[in-house]
Amino acid sequence: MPPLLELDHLEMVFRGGGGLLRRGARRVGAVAGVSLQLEQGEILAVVGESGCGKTTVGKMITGLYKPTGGRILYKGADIHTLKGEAFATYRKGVQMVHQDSYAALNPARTIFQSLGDPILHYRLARNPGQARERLAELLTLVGLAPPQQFLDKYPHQLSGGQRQRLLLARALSLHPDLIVADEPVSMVDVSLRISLLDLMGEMNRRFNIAFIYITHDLATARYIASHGRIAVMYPGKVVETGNLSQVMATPRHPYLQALLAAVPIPDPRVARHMRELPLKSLEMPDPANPPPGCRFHPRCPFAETVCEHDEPPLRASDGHLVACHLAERIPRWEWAPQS
Amino acid sequence: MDNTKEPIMQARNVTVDFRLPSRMLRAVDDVSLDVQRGEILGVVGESGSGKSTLASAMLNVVSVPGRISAGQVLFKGQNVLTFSEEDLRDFRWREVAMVFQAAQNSLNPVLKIREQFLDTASAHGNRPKDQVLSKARELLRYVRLEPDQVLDSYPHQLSGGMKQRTIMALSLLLDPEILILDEPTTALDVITQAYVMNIMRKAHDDLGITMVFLTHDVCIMAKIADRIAVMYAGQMVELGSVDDIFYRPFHAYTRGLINAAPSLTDDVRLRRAIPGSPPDLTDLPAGCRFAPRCRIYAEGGCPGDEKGELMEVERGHYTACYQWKKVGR
Repeated sequence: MPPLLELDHLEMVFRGGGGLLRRGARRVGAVAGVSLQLEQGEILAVVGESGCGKTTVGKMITGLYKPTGGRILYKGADIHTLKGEAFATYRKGVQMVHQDSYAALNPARTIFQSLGDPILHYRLARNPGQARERLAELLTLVGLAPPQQFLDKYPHQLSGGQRQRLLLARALSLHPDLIVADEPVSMVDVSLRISLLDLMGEMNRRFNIAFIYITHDLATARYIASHGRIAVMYPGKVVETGNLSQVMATPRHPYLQALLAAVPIPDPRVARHMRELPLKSLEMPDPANPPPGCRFHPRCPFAETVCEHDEPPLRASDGHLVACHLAERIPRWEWAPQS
Repeated sequence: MDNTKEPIMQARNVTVDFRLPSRMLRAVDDVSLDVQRGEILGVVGESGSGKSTLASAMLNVVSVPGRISAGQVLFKGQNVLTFSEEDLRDFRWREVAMVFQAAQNSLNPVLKIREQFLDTASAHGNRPKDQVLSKARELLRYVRLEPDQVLDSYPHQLSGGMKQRTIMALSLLLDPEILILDEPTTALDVITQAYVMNIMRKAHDDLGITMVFLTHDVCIMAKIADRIAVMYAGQMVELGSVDDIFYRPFHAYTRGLINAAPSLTDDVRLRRAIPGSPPDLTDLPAGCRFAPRCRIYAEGGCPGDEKGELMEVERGHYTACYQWKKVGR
């Protein structure tokens, strides 16, 4: 059986900034050759900082952007060749949960109006009455009980955590096999984050729904994908990927090591002894004009001549894949230097 | 940490009310807090906890329809709330500077950074231009930016992290004694956040500035804070040293908050969400505001019928929970 989803050398180049008076449009390669696979029921965390292309990847998977290169295979078929019934199956099968729950819901429509339409459109309910019943079940499922209290409300009458649960209910309403969740908890209060992540984990186990969890936050990625996989992106590329627990135990790419060193640790004794950031500069490269060779070399404390000229391929190291020429030679990662 | 604890700024029983069309919202309810000279104080709370409103009250900049309806704010013993406009102008930025939330957007988009440094200086007294600019260059270098490039830029030409560091340099321009930072790293990437926190720590150590961080994220305080104050639904519920708060919390909310924070080093199975959500400030529970979410209350270990007053239960460690002995680790 083919994997649920396969990204095959995916590329996305945005053009812009040309205008009437300036010649030569700016080409921004947001995603430059990303290949990943996802099996049924798997959780994949895609981690990177703003500008790394993680959201663009999510939007291509959900069909919101058409890639300028490469293919996206859903159950073995290229999504941009799908027609009619097959396209509708893909559309239903791949759903998205957005970061900003307020922007993702129409403020002028009630919850029932917003969430009822998709299930009526796909004939998962024959009439509004049935749709109401179905939505009541879904709302209960995502912990919004009693559902009748929510169905006729407008988005502004709900809290951020509640709206985020609604987005999840909306995604679940079409029985998807894959939910792409783009920073679903970063705008939610800290005390409520874990419960949302737990809810996604529960949906994953109960209904075997695969999740792509897109985030800048390694700690929540580790929480939700502890039995899943991780892909770390650095402008336009995957630089390290594999089994999450394995990658976290032996992070090989200097960029991932820098990310790990930057994550705050809620333990004062450990936090005070964390190492300084192993980086030469703070600024990310300009995606319109990425550095030659390894894109990370201008910031990398270990970079050698080879890094300035040759782009490192993703290759096996320590049981997972790393795109670094020096992966085996740079010092092994330790949480805190011995004090 | 210094042992000669001397409060430089004090909030005394501060209450801030917002008059809404149909009801009254009490955003800060009878909060007292001493900021000690030379410390780094973290004020931690979720949205609606009142931390930003408290900070606005300390600078006497609460905006309509909000009103400081009770209490005093003392700076070196003088009540800021009775200052004249002129006194306030001298007090703000020179004595106490504040970096507001989403500060990257508080730069004027149509002025070059150079003009914004000069404007700030001239609004708070006249100083020679070249003196201001040389100070600006020194501060920009301090926050690890290229001074001439930044001074010549418009805000849109800088990245989010560069803007945030520019604001920090700007906030230090008039050598304030206290710097209040409201969610200074919230919109930043994790590497930029770590960088900014390191710079702040260094500024504190080098210049001896007293710093107050307001944040929803207790994790970022572990490395940098000397003391932490925890706010919930408009009240201060716990105050103590950073080690007290992380290792021996005396309020169930504090404990819940720390247990709910995913980390890279813990056992993920030990993380627990706090059930429920923060209360509606216009419809608060009569007794303890945390009771509906509290484990001790749920297990019958507390009647939950009292509002709770901050009390010092160990030296320097305050809690508003009467059942603090049951909180545990």
